[in-house]
Amino acid sequence: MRQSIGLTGSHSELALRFPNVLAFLVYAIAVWLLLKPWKNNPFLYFLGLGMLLLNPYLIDFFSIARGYGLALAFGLMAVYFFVKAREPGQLKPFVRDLFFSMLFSLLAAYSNFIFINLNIALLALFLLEFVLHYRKEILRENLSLGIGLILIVGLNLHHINKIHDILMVLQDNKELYFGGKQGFIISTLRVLIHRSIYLGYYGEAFWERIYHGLIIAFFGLTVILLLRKKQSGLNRIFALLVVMIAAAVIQFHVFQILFPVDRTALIFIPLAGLTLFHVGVDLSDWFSSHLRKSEWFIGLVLFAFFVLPMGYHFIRNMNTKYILEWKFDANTKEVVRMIQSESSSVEQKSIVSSWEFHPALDFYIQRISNNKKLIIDNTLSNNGDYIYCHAHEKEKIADTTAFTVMANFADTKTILLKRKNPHPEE
Amino acid sequence: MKRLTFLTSFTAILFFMSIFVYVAYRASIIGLTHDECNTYTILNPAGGGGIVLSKQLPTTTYSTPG
Repeated sequence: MRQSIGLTGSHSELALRFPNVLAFLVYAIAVWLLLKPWKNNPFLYFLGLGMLLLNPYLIDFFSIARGYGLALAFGLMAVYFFVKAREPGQLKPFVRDLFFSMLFSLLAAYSNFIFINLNIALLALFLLEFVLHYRKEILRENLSLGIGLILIVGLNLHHINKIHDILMVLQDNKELYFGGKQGFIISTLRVLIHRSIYLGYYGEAFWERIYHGLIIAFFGLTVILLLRKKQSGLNRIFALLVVMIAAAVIQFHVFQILFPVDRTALIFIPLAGLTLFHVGVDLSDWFSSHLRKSEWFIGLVLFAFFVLPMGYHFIRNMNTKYILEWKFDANTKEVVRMIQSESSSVEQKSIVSSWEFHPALDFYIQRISNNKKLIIDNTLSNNGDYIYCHAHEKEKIADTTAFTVMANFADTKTILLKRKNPHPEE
Repeated sequence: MKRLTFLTSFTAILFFMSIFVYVAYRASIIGLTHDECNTYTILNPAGGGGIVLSKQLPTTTYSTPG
């Protein structure tokens, strides 16, 4: 954010959010690279695109000035370098992919500390792959690559330790309060489904079906992959998903770190999407090897069942007003504009607001009102010229008769009240 | 087959660009949120020409309840 202000010299919304907007391009490149091998099968290709992009909740984070968009973009790039096909036994491509995967996952972790889990999971899986597929002889024959490998792992461990120290400071300061206590399924999965439904509502039965479907698919896939001999990209991505879930569970029980919820669980959306895409790929391969001329069939079926409804859902929820997690702030800028437009430039006006609106009100008062002295009180006392609060907070106001409703925002369930007569103290 | 690959890539690029435009437009039009403003307050280069928020302004007063 600071660099963005320095580069553009602007404090506009777009300037402040620009790094995350650009991060979408990195995310798109990662998606492109991940799906490149399936360009000849358009239905499968668009199944992948749908799974990785058609989630309005996920896309929200590329339009805001937080670290989540950056972390998602770098995180998916790191996943690409892990998932991409490698010839077993060839050390050079392995070391190269390990380097880029660690680099991008560290960038993701520095963008958002929760992504350190992704870095650790990728490192663990790369090391497992090394132990399974690379012998000591290969390492001896490629001494420079061996040294490179040790350096990459060492540097990565150094950064894990660094981020761990920062996290411990945050934990001591009780900053790591955001999360759930009800287990991964309730705290993470259920909430992510709710958030992905976004502003649309299709009834309780709809989301319950998705919820149960995902749980059955997860355990079913675990059994199938344990019994199956064939190794594919699905094994890699599913292993990563399982390790990430296991990490969340272990961290909760060992370190009392809460389960990821809402935005802190964002990485599970592309991971789950990529897993479902690879299920489609393997199903398509299996069908086409058993039935002639059925190469596109599975892709077409999955496209119709998943991508079309997801596309409909995405288009239905497209908007230029809300960031779901902070939906309550959708009208805050408008509130300051309304107050500004009806008061003179020399008058000192006070706005009483709930704590939730305080930062955004503060920002826009400074920006829109310029040198106008608007005073913010973050309690709901009656000493203001205006009150901006949740509609249900109206009862807290001692003398409601002294105020008239200036604006009622039904979408955010907030109201702007204006004092009928000049303030008694003025 | 080449034409199909080209068409798939072309449609995909259009798809990426549409979402990118959507993301950028939203980023420019939606008001800053609670958390973004808090981050801004922390990172804002005070004294370096940035907006100085009211917490740092001596002119701002916070009225007390009652």
